[in-house]
Amino acid sequence: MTEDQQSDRRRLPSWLYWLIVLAIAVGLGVLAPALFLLGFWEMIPLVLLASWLAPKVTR
Amino acid sequence: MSWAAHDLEPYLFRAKMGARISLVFCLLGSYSPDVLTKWAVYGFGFTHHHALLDDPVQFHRGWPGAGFTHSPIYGVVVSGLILLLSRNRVWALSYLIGAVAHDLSDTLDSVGVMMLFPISTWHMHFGLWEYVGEVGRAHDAVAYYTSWGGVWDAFWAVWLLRYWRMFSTRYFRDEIAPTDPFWAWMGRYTGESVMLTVYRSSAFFGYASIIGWYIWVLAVNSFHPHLDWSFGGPQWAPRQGPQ
Repeated sequence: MTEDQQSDRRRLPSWLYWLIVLAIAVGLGVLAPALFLLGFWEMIPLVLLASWLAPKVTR
Repeated sequence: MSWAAHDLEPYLFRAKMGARISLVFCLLGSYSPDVLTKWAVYGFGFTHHHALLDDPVQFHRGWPGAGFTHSPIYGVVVSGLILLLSRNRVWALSYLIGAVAHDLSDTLDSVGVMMLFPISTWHMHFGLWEYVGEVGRAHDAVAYYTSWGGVWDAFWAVWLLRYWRMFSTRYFRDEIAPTDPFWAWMGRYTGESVMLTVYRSSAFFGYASIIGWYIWVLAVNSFHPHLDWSFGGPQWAPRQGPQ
């Protein structure tokens, strides 16, 4: 197995990664709906962080 | 009123109509009827509601008031301005489609919208669920997500799942960015992560808010935490709109 393949195996599948991000967003929303569930702009920091991290941690 | 449906509908239009739709302008159209008025309808506070207006329903959907923002003529005028300033027909049409979709979604509640304004102030309303914005955000969330309103949101969310590939980076690079000059313009000032954020945020919020609100309304909140899928529900809500 090459180094690239080994590194690829350590990364998350893209669908699982985004499901985890969604679960975090839902969790934050349920804990504090007034801060996270009233408008799409409240999700921008999380989506920005997730979009930036995605190429580094997903296959 | 509708909640996450306004965040998700433009993605379906893009998925179905392809490059004839600019997602960004369709989203702008979808947000525009509420963007300047909804905060005033709800007032301040979440758990403790502080009203700002004597008659928020009239202000939001009526005339005199800002209800004209929920009429197709408003979408036509603004999309005409977009066409005049940008000379881009796709942007103008996308804005119009987003705005009219918002209007049509809001005809499903008990207050409805003035579809024929300024010819008539008659409200097209189907009364599938009760308009409850006047009691503040928290109780409106309870009313909406325990009634058919939440089902309406879920309908769009489930339909959009069929097109989940449109949220991938590859799809954005191959199908979205090359077909809308907005992204080329934005790309001059920022990187791809920011563009992907702009592209995905509304849909991501739509899904997170539908799931989050359902959990909060039914499992955390203690104010009428039960589904009420009766026509015009929930039954506890005060009646609003034309009789």
